[in-house]
Amino acid sequence: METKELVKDIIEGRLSMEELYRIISSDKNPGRFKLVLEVLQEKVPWDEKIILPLSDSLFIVCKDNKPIVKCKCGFEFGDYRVNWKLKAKVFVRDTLESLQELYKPFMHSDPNWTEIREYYCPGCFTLLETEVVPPGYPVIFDFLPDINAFYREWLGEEPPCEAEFMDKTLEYIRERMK
Amino acid sequence: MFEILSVDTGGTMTDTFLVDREGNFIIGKAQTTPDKEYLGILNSLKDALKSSNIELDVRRVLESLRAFVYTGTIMINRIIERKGLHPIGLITTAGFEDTIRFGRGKQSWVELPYSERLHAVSHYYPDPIVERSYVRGVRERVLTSGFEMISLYEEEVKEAVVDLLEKDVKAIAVCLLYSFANPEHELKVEKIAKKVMEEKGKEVPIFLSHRINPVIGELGRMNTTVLQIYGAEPSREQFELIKQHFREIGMKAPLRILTSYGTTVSPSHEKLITTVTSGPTGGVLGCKYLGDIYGFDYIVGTDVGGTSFDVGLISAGQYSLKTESTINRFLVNFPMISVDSIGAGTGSYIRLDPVTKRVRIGPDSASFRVGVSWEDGGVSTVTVNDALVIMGHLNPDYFLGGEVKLNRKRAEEMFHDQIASPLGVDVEEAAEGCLELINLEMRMYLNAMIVGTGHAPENYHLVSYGGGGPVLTAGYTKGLNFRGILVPTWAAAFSAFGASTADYGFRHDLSTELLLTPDGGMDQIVTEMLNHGWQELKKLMEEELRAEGIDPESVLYKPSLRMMYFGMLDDLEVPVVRFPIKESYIDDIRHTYDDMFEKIYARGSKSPEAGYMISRIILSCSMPTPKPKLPDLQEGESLPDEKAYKKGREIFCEGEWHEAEIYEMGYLTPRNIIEGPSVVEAPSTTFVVPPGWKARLDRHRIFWLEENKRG
Repeated sequence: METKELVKDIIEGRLSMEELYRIISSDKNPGRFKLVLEVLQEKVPWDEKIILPLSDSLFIVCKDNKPIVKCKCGFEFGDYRVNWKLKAKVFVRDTLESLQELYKPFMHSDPNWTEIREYYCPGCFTLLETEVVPPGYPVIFDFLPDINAFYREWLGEEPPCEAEFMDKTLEYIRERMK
Repeated sequence: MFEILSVDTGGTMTDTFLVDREGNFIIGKAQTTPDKEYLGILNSLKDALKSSNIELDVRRVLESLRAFVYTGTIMINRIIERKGLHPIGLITTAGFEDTIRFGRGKQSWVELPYSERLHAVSHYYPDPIVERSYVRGVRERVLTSGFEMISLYEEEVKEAVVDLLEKDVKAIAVCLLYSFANPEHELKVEKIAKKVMEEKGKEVPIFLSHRINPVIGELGRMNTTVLQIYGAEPSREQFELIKQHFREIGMKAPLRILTSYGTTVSPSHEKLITTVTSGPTGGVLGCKYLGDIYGFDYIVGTDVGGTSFDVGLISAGQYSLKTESTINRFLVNFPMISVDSIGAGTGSYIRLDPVTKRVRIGPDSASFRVGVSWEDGGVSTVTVNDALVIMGHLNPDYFLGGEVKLNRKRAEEMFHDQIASPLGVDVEEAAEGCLELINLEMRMYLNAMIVGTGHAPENYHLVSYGGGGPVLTAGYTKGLNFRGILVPTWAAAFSAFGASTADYGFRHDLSTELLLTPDGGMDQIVTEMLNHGWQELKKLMEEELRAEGIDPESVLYKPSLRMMYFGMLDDLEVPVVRFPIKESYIDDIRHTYDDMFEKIYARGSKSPEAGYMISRIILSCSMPTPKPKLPDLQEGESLPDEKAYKKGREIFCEGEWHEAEIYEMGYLTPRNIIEGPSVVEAPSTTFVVPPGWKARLDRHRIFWLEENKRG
């Protein structure tokens, strides 16, 4: 069985490809998720319980009995059912100059066709996510998990805190537009 | 007296096969000793003498030998463990410096089990053997035709060599584009490099790709050259060491190593890399040898080892040669007898998927550590061997002749805990289910391989060998209707036996593109080109033979070529009687090819209308080689001698226990008929005849297994 140390090595990227391959090709470990949460919880400086990791820096955590999105630095994005990108700092590369900061001339896309949107954490300015989309395309909601179903039907236990499964992004925007 | 000694040093066990003038043979087994191979070989040889109660001094046996053939894993292990010659410098055509690092997309998955090939997440590339910083490009260009388009920038060669020498490379490989068509530039690089080395007072060996492998495809040629330096050159010393040790204790016969295309060469052979994966080749050669004796043209060889199930096909009397394959994931393009395998053997682990409760067999295995039934092996996961012990198919007190005592109770307990109980069935039922699963996997694989060539199992005779073959033969052939099923009594050392049937000789391949137009207009030019090609290869061969101290006049040269219908992708090897050929002989070549194509594929898919393409010119040479004879004994009674009967025991088959007859293999004589349910035991292997089957021993000490007609 996998130890916590091994899971830590996987998360920190300390394993060689051969070692990783052995894990990938062997049976699924039903207890892996728990170990991953434990390791992640030790890595972050705050105490709220992690329910589900979203990315390297973002986690869905349980705060005041409500699931919210929180950055590893401690910045809180609020209700996980609202796209966290609405509260992130965004930098859009839609000009030749800004694209050529990253790419050599003719190696990048045409800014009339696509733009690059970079989302940064307002707390620590970590680059959280990047979208490459046509100009005017709505902000993408990357991942909206059904936490209740995941905990009850997949893990077979009660979710640490409950919230009805739905997308509240539009509702949030409507409220702010008033 | 014994004449031929053949050894097969596997990753875990070293098998020996010793045969005398009449074809009487003995076999031995011992643990492989990776640091000092000769010790393992010696132990295995002693075991062969001991287990057949032959009171003979090892020195006397060695003195009488006329041949000593080696197959094994020395070289491939060096490559897998990355313990080769390092660092190597590589000089290639400018613009192609990354060829070796990029490799081919295939290299990321090619040696993975099927289930992992399907998932991109488990694909990864092997670390390159030559790092990017040790690769230097020089500007030059030769076209496929051999025409020099851009002459070699000699200053760049000088710079590259100086640079590589400063990096302390141990050897330099040179691989330029299309050097097989025109080697001038590679030869020039060698000349310049030698001059630079002289000036610098620092000398390292140089290897030219057109000498190692003058074949089209720069990646395969490059990898072959690099692996020759990395894996084969250092192994040469190891082979010399084995030779020396055996010389000291009396051996006079030359040491020969089996190549992957079915011949044997001396350790000083220039292209020693061609011996890298010789292990499975031996079995196929053994099948071919049996085929020649019995007069079978279609044979499938099945080797059940501890870890894998290897299948090789012989069709129309020929084994198929692959011209492209991989060594530890690196694509190479020298010829290899094609043997395909899946990770299913008698040591394969049996597990339940913790989430879905699906039974999964392999692909990893306990190999020589048997399974949980051998407590000292330290294995904690049950294996196919454990299932066989539980069902009574393996005798726990007679495994490896009783050398390894197996614990049936322990096997039952752990099988119960790990498999039977979670599935909610009895232990023996679970064991048989798992066995049926592995048999099914093998059966489907066999069928797919044969049907894939356009034939049916009904066309083939099957030979079952490897230590674990005879235990499972009935299981994995059931329902496939082979023309005949042969189980040699020396199944455990069959690969070593096969190796000893190989000729002493080698071959050279030269890539070419010669078109035979339908109107015959090219025949004259092609004739000239072929003769020229063979002549060049012969010159090269003579040079090598002289270097090995062999008189080139004493050698038999066999020309051949590979060709295909113009526009097709797969070529076949066509033998040519002698060279130089006359223009009129081209017609014979066309006819031979047509016939072969018809036998190997199908008549309907022939397409001579567009002409033919000759893709390789090949020259093989061979020397007179002592070969083993099969035992040829008098046939006796159909009822086995009383001595052959051992204490009976129950075996589990088809859902119930049967009282089975147990025989000692050594006491069975030709024409004896074994009716199932029976088990024939020998120190090195166990042969199971299930209820409803029977086996007959023939004059050559080979069992013929068949299922009784029902109803």
